[in-house]
Amino acid sequence: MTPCEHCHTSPATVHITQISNNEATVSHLCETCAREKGIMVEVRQEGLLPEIGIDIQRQAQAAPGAAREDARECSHCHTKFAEFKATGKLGCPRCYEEFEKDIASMLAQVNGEHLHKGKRYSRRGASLMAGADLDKLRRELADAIGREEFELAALLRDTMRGLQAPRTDGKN
Amino acid sequence: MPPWLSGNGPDSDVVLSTRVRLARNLAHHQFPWRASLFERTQVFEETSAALTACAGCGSYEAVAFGNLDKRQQEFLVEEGLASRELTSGDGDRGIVHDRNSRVGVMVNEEDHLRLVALDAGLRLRELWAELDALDDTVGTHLDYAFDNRTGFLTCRPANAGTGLRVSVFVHLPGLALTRSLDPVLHAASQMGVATKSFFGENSSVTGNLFRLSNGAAMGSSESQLVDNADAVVRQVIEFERKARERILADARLELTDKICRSWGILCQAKLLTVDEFFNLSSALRVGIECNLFDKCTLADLNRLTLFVLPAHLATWCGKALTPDECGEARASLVQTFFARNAQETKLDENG
Ligand SMILES: [Zn+2]
Ligand SMILES: [Zn+2]
Repeated sequence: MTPCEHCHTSPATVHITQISNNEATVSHLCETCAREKGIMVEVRQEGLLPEIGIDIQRQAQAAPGAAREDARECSHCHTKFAEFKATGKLGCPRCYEEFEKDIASMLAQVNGEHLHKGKRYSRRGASLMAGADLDKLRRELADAIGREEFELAALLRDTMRGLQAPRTDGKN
Repeated sequence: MPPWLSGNGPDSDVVLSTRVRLARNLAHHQFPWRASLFERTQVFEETSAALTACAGCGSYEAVAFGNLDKRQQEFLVEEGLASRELTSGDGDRGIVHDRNSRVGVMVNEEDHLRLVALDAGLRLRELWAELDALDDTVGTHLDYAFDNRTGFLTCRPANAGTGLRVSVFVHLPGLALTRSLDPVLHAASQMGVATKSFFGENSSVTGNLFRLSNGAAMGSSESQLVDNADAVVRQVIEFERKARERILADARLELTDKICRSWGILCQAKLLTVDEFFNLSSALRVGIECNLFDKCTLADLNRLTLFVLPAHLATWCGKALTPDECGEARASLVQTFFARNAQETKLDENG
């Protein structure tokens, strides 16, 4: 283990890369010295996405009543929470509602965020469909405002505007 | 040869190819691993009908994996449009692709649909724009699983949101030789771009080839993800070019020696492993990229890169090969290729 460059005693666990004049320099510090230098220490597996399965396992072990949690299943496809924990795979799109809380906290951990800010989608086939979509969006918008989730509310409003506007160029 | 191996895209002195993919699922079906064989057939039929029929998709061709033997499946994986996951599944699955093998859709892989675009050189923005348009068209014919908060729903939550994964395949011999790979790739990872081995998840690094990919699929828009990856990759490219300049200034003779020795081995060896081929061809690649070597082109090396892989090699030989036979066949293929190449060049010069 390399010792910390600052205190020379604790092992260096924080590796900081700085780029100036197109030269990369690396400093190796222990967590305490890094914090003293005002560097935010964020524990993240280097380079790769942390395996989702492992993350949930850690959470579930800490939580009391883990066995009961594991036995929960999606009412639609019957995938058990334990199965998801072991493989990292969900069984169907409805699983996202059934395990909503667990998935949201996991996504926040992996991405630092659990709100989708990219493309919006609504099926534009029949106008009947668009009508149904609008009603659903109206309900979701009211919910979002009720929970003071204003970022989501703004995204939903954009989607509704896109749906109501006549479609011209095939884009939202 | 698939266009992503042409060796002449933008920044082709460092970048081999760019790949962009979008994960999409149908709202009213279970994900492929969970779905019954019957349901998978439904999904396959629904999506391939939508893709081959919809205007704006050009002329698409569907390849059902169920009708192919293992070697034919592996062959398509090596060509880049199919994934290994697709070969290990069962039931109805496959790819629907355009005539140039540039844009395609994998059906019933980990997700119902994986839209993929790949081409030579650094072309993130261009390929994203193309895939975005294809996604819009396909999306009107199918019913995607989408949630206003979580975005596009995928089998693994880590892909949910945009469902976007961009990958740039790069050759970094300069950074490797100057021992600056770790700091540069570490800096890239801090800026949201992860490094993976070129040959898939479980293989060790070979031939100084790497794959740079975005980490998060959520939290920013697709174009922000693409722009960020593009900016980070461009910085990595600059570091690589600086490193090569330094080597050329300090150790030109040593580098030339390494290139010539590698050429000698490739032309004379009687047995070649895939690893060996990639390490030796990495030296030739630097030689071409730095104008120190002109006995073959990047396109030649790319073509060989594909031909030396097991399924292509077996196809060339017309039979299944034992590991020992593979090494011998590989060396002989490489030498036949270079000999034919030299003859063609001579003919060009004379005529
Ligand atoms: Zn210290
Ligand atoms: Zn489910």
